[in-house]
Amino acid sequence: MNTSSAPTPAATLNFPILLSPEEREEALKKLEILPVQVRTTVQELTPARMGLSYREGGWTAPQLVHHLADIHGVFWLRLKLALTEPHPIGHAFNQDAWAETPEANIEAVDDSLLMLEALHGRAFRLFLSLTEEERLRPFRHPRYQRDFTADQLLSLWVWHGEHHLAQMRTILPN
Amino acid sequence: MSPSQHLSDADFERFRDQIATFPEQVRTVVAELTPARLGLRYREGGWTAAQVINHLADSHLNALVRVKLLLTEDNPTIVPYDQDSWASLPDGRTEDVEDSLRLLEAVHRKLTYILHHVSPSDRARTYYHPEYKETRSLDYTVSMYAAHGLHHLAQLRSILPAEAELPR
Repeated sequence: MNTSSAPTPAATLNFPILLSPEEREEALKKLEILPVQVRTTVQELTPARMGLSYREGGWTAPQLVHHLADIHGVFWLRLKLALTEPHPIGHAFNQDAWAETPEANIEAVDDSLLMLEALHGRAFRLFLSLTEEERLRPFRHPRYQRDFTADQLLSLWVWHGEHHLAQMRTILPN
Repeated sequence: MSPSQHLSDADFERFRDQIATFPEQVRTVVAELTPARLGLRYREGGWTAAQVINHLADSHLNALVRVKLLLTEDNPTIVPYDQDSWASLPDGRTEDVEDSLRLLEAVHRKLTYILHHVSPSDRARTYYHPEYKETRSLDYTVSMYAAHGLHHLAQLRSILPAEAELPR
């Protein structure tokens, strides 16, 4: 079984609770273009490279794409929870087990790419619409056991997408 | 049906097929709605067509998450949400529904794939809903979300006729 077992550096990252206008603009731009970057990277992978991992025992490119769709789906639900409830606890899940369910364990990535594009489209517009007060609304991160504001979730979201995009790009032929 | 009851194979396959074809049915109705009618409500005080569509995408994304949770954990407690508050956010009210339609399509294709690859013992696996205090099997979840989709599809269809006078 391939796993993501390397510890997630996000646990140790410190994202600002409220982004500056420049930081926010940059993050939103990255959030908007990530699905296209992922799709472009997948299109450059030959069928033979679809089964390769970015490191020994790590996830393959299709597993990384499914993981992005799954986890950004959870980020989306956490965002809407944070905006509609006082200090909610976010959804917890076992990401390695999630990579093994039937639909996440296949080479076909069309559904996950579509899901990623749709989620990022909605998230971009919702994040863009938030007032400063809303951007400070917190939820409890169940794994890191600490609070994240909506702006910190935006930073985490972008970080997470780019982290796995970089892994996918190392699988590309030189 | 009770939340822990099992479906016959025939019923399971019927609900699974409803889930498979649902996004296409929603697309068909939306294609017939003029943009102006997306802001109409199926009844006074009810949601607009746009809110129904955005709600379906969010609700069925929650369904996918719940199905993945019950397949990977032992009777996990899921996270409920306030659907009316979600529908009141700018994201819930927007009449730009294309991304919700695409999210619905992607989620239903994933759910359909899962439901084609689960074993009888998987179908008996459960999650716990803390608000309703119910332990729900995968079989029940499949029947519930199939019905949930059709319930809202009927609301969308009632907004269709161009001559119907409906509240905004």
